[in-house]
Amino acid sequence: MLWLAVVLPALPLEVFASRPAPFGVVEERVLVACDAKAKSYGLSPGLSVTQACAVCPSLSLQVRDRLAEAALLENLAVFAYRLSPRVVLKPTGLLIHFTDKMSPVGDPHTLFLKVEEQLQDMGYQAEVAIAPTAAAAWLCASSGTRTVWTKHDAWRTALRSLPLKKLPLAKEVHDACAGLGLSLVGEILDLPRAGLSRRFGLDVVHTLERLMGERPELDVSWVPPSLFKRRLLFSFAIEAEETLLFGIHRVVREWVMVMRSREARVSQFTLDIGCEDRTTHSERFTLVRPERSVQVLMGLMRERLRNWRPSAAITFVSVVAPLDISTEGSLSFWHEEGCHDSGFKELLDRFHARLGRESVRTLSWHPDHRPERSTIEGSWPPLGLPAHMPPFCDRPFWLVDPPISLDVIHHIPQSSGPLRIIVGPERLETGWWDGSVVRDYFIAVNVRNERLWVFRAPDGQWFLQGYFG
Amino acid sequence: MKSVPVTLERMGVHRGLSCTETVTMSTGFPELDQCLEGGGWPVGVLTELRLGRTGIGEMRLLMPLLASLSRKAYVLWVAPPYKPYAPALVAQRMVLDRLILVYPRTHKEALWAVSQGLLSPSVGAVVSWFSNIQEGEFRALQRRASEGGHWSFCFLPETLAPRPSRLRLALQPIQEGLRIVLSRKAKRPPTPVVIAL
Repeated sequence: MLWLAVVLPALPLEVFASRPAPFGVVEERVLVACDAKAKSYGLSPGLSVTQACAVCPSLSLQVRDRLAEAALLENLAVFAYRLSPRVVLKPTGLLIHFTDKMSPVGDPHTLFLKVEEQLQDMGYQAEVAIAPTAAAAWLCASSGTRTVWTKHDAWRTALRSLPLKKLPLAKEVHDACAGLGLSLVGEILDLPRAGLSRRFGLDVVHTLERLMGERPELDVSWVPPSLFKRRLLFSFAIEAEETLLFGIHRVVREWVMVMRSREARVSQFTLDIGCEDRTTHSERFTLVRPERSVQVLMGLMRERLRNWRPSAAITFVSVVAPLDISTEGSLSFWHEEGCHDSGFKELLDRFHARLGRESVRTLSWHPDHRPERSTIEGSWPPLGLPAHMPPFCDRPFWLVDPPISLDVIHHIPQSSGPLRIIVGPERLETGWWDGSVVRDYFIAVNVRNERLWVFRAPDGQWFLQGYFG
Repeated sequence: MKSVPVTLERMGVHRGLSCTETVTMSTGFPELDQCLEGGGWPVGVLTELRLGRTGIGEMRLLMPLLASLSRKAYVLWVAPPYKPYAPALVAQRMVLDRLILVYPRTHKEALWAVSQGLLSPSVGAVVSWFSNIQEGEFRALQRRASEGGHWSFCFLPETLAPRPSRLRLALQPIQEGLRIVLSRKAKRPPTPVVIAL
């Protein structure tokens, strides 16, 4: 077990994009952090604003932005999550946990250098340390010792020479220790534990035990956000569809990687495309089956964008997608039917993407005698109404809705010639509660031998209701 | 020196058309089964159905096949001319939940929807209605149909010039039921069949 600690000593300063030196950050009228130039004037954290301004009148100050700090750490956690699934967020940094077999990057020393280099690339001033316990790693990193200790090293001994004031203890305890003349970690470790707990409370002893790996550490792991958000800004405005798809592909690849790492899938997402004329084209996708395949997602977007032409050159694309933790698809081994269905859902998603939800319909049957009400056409998925068998004798396949009025010559209804009634009448009388209907239905044949379903209304008018397809 | 047809006959040379064994499923009408190669609707063939008007019994011709397929797979209808009447489908034992109706807005979308259906393994049968289709487009659909194991039917108006299909049925309503004229790619005389509906 190994812990890598990253401490950002200048975090309150680094969240501000412009930092005119000398620069400081205040919280509740007390200086929290200041840059090197300010330090050269003799400023140090803990001074009041009045004192600081008196010492250095040219000092520019900003109020501490804790939200921005949390966001920055969150970003860093996403980076750390790639190295290990167990990341612990702290107010001024984070801890990454590794097993003895180490990380995908390599042995501890390589890892240390790699992390340090990447943090520098990102532009952070960071202290990194590796130690067998989280508290020890944190202590080393906050002391700025740049150590890499595995459990084979004599880290317990080495720890003793670190300054005591970097240990996470209450201020009264630190003051009391200073009063006792204790300044190194080793000195407090040598004190009898029973006496320590009586004097400072059990917490101090527990902290020391965690530091030495004698007590399990109870840190809550960071859980990555359940929303994928990625915006890709094009460094120059693009016009070609190919380039746009290439950009989307880049986002999708990253997105699928995030989903893989979290065993997640996506069931709905929004794709935004920003144009130079400040309009944003937004496409919302809803999937019948949660997905996480690059091909499927790219296919859906390509189908949807096929008919879209941007109004101006494109400046950015962004994807916002809640991630579903889903096991769908992973159990197809057990039921063959499910496998069958999954391909269908993919097809349905493609239809929805290209043709729109309104063009893909499903039929369901509603027990009502009025023909126009007994068939319900809806979008997918089907309503699943009770489908008990109706005792209908002969019903047409095609419904003419609304019915077409027929001409009547010599009391014989006409539809490309006179109709010959072969079955009927069948009285349909229903719906007194909503839109009453009284009709006499007949099956008729016209001169072309086509069978029609016609009805006569009480006023003697004839209508065509269906074709026996 | 023997003539080529005789040689082919003697040597048992493999010829694509005659030697491929087509999977078929009974149409539900024994008279029609007898006339069809393999004794039923063939898989992987885009069957061309010609009719003068909609509503002459063309659906009752397909219903036995579609109803039995709907128990195992999905059935796709692309651009049906009217609204299907659910009680009639239920009466024919069609599983309604397995029926997908697609109403494309353009001809291109219709072609796309048909070919997507023909590619999907969860779809059993694709039925499509076209008022017109180019020969090239028909060939493309035909190719798609032969790739997957689907039953596919394409309703076309009578008046359209013949398309290069392997199986064409011209449907005419008569007093006794439906008169079907079969013509296949193989040069055989068209055979009329009458089925009672």
